[in-house]
Amino acid sequence: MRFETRRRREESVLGVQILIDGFAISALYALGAIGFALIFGVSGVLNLAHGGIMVVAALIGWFSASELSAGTYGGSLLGILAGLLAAFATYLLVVRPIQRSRAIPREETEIFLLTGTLLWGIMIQTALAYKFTDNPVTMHPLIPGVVNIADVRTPRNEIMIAAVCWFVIGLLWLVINRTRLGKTLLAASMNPRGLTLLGFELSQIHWWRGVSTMS
Amino acid sequence: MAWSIYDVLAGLAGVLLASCLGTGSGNIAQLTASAFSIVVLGGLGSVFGTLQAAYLVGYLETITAYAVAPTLRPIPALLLLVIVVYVRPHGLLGRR
Repeated sequence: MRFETRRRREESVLGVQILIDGFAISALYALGAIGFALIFGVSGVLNLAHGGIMVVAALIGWFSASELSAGTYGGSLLGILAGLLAAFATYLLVVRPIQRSRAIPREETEIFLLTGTLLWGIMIQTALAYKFTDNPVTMHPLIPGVVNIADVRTPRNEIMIAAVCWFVIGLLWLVINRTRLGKTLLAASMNPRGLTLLGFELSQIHWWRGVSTMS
Repeated sequence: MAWSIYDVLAGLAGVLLASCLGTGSGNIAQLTASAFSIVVLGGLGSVFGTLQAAYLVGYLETITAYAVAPTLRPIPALLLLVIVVYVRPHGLLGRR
């Protein structure tokens, strides 16, 4: 009888653990995937180097924090900066040359972009494995400590990460739906030619179209 | 500018991932596959669908990690992706 009660309690704790961890991990996935969807909306690019860019940010952040003594927050900022540079390099070295190439037929651009970003992702993976390691690394938590949620010890860091992800997603939604710029972009996604006739520079707006098509 | 937003989102997600779960170069394919699954499942171009799909994939992976094995965590989401692409090619919530 006691064994049965204990088993039920363990199952209940495991269920809560899955709910909490799943919520935080899903928020992280949402944050990354919205960027992925954004780029598809802008230019039809399914960026297969996406995971590579995320891991560049993660490993540079970890390396800066642990090996360069930049601290957890300093390392995180350097990691974000490294991810930013990696994504720009992906655009400038892979995506833009393929999109602008006159040698590639327009109807074949997407497959070239898929191939190009896939190969670029493999290059990033190989370079990171050479410079760092294949083994997963973990940064120190941004916020230390744990809290008890329904008998499950949950790191404060995990709760903070879910909150940050939702804050950023909400901020992006507000920019798209509540600002003049966002509304212009929304209009651009619906009728780009009409917006051009109104005097807007489409090449500038084109950068933003993906944001507005997502709303 | 959209690439700038993407850069910040991907960088932030990477750093938070390292702080929450830990990651390495061996996880690159899995992370790309997860993002690809989420965006296709949610319907390309639907932010609400992307959010819902992210939670579907996130919970599928978490349940698999706890109930089966952590190394098999991406498998169910990829199987679901194959089924959805076959049955509903515009995604679970995408526009036709």
